[in-house]
Amino acid sequence: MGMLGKRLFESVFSILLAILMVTASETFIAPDIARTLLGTKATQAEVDEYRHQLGLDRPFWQRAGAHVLKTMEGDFGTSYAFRLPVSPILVQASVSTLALILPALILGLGMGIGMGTWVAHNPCRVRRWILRLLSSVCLLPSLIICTWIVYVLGYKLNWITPSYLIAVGVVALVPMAVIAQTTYQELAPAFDSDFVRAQRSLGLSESAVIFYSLRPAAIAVSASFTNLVLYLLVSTAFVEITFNRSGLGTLLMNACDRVDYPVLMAIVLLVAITFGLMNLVSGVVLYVADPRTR
Amino acid sequence: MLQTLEHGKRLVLLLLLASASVVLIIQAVPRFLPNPYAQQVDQQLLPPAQNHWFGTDQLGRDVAARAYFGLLNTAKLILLCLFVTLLLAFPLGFIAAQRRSLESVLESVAGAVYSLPTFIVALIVFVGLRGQDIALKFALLGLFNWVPIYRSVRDMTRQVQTMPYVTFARAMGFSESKVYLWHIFPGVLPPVFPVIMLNLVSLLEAEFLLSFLGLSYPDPVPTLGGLLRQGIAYLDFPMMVVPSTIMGLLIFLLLTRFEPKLPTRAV
Repeated sequence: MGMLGKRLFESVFSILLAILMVTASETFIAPDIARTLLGTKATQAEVDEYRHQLGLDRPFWQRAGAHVLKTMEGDFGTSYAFRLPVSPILVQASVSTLALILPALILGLGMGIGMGTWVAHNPCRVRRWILRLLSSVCLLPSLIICTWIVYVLGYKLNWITPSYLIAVGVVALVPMAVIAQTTYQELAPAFDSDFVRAQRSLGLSESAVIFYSLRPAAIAVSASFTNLVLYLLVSTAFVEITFNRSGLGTLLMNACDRVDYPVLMAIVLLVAITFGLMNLVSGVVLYVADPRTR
Repeated sequence: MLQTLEHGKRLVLLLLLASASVVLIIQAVPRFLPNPYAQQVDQQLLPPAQNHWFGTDQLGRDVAARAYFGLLNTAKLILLCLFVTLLLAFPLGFIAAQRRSLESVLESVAGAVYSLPTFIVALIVFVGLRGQDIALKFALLGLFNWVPIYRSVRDMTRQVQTMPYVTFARAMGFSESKVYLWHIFPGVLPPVFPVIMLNLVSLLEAEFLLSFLGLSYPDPVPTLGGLLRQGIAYLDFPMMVVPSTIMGLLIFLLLTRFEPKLPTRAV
């Protein structure tokens, strides 16, 4: 129970920490917000009045408490730029981001497990070296990879047309590299172990041997999954920006340009909450699947 | 383990030499580059040529000079951030290795802080402190970046503390601070060094992305991310390729040199 309790504490604490930080940064930016919204012509009295309407002049703990309650209701306030509630905008953007992440995760999972298994099953120096090189390339920031693909290969050389499928392929690079490495590291010692030798001497087919060795590797892969999804949320943002697709990343960039504070903070909280919950879920999954953690 | 101690002292010496040569290069290179702020309205978006190695940008400023000074700005900011991180991570790691009771408290805090990706923390800090000094924001970012280094310092200190040379130094009557500075720290540094370097990679990425989003230095000051963004806006080829290649090569070299075991950390 110790591990689950620790995970629960970590998740709740990190979400609270994010909300506190958001409130604190709101305190710093508060004088700017009302001024920006009303323009330069407004008098100081009007600005103060508007700040009062927005609730920005209340004490820190009141605002933090209000943020916690509103976040639980799923209410992130009203966007300054669109003059619309943030939540529907956020849901719409999340759906188109998920349309990129989910196929990429499945693709990356399949290719990663395949590659890791292949290199572990037929070890040789060149293949190991290629695996290592590949994962270093895949872990470059997505912004750099996308710049090369969209503008150099696509725009300048005209070799490829940037499309949805290519975007999915780029997003899939990171899960592929991470899962290939993890699978390889778990499988390489397994293929030398006694139980594989026993399975082979019992006359099991090679595919059955691989299948039985993959099962313990699945635990390590699922343990790295939380960080992977988080990494993807950040890297997908820049794939969307460069491929000019709508989604959380494009929303983030526009919000940065216009200092659309509620949208920015909603995205931050969304990521923090997603990660907190995933941390918890992966803790439960590990607790059920891996007796060593009990 | 004595070898590790020697290795640690050699590492410190190498780092000093490396930084000295870097300072020399930083002093020498600008002599060959034009002023990155000098605008020439009649020379906008030129292709690479003899006097402008990578051409000019939309205001006629030299791209090579802007990329070089952008890289220097990046280095300045992330080294500041890393300095704050190290100031926090090493003492905390030493303390946690010493006292079990404090360790469990520190570990819970560390777990929660580690759950927030650097990039997201950076967004909160940078948008909240809009208009403040950029260096201050990066120093603040260092307060959220210490967890992996702290964890490996703590684990390595536990191992090093049981070594005979540490016992010997204590038996010789050296003060505790001397033992930590001259015996434990050089023993801990080599195994922790790759973790620090990977931390540097994630900081490099975060700075690049932040300056791309326009949250680092504002326009007249050169940044690599800002250069890339303007390159994309004006579809100017060298302005896109130069910053992304410099950054890509740097991160690629660091990643292959200090290969992470499980490279799963978000920026």
